[in-house]
Amino acid sequence: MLTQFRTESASASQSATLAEAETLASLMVEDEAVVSDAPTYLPEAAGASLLAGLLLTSPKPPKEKPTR
Amino acid sequence: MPFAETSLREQYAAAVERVAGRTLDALRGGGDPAALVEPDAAVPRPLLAAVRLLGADLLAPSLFGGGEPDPATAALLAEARRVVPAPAPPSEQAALVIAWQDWAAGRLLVRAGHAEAAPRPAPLPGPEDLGWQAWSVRMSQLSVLALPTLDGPVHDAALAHALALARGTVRSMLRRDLTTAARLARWLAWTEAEGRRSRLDLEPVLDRIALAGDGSARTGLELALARRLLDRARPSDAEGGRAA
Repeated sequence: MLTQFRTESASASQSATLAEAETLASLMVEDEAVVSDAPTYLPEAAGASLLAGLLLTSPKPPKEKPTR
Repeated sequence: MPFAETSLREQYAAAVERVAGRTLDALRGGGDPAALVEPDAAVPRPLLAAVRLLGADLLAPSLFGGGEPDPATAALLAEARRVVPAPAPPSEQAALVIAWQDWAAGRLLVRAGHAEAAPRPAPLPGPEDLGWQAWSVRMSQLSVLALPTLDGPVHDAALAHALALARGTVRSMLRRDLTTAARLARWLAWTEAEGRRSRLDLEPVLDRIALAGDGSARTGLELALARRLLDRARPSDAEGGRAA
């Protein structure tokens, strides 16, 4: 029996002990973070964005000046 | 003193940070983790739960020092295992992970004369059964086993599947899950310390996690242990680094 440490007594209610046990387990077995998986390269998506960008930023074709 | 509205999980997480920080200090040569406990004061339960949770990692400073587990720290860990209720895992897989974590702590406590040898838990499924993604996550939960002088089937699996560990580390980095990445990098450093050259250059990985990670003492402890394992793998680099 160990005597060099004086420990606080367990919580009175059984539910408190169960809560302790569940909390302990959740911290001992941490799952990986819930985030999106690795970003996937989608060349077709990049192409569509580039096309849309080019169309939007391209200069308008020259117009003929109205002749009198 | 915790506030009334502080949840149990928050209390435990704060205690884990405190104990991990103390262990980190001990690893850097600043005493032993048992110094957390005042000789005459009652040990708070969250602190005992944190000791129970960190398990074998608490004894890492003395293992890296080349000696046997520190007697005072081992006594504190044994007391925590006696007083704190056994964890209640939500699934069979989690129960197996906790069983292996307890096995590692138990092995060290046996050496310190504080426990009797416990039987080995059931073997873990390998990456051929789970797939390397799920297997590497499982191994990250078992990073507490990646310590010098510990050896068993989990360690054999780590050596046999170092490529899956490297893939898992890179996947976690890409997912920006740097806590899992730190734990897997620790396993890779352990395989290097065992003489297996890693497929991944670990130094930049550890630097990145240190810079962009959550900054917690628990992750800091994982990183420090990984670096100490790398020092064992490359003693000349470690001496050069210390000289510089």
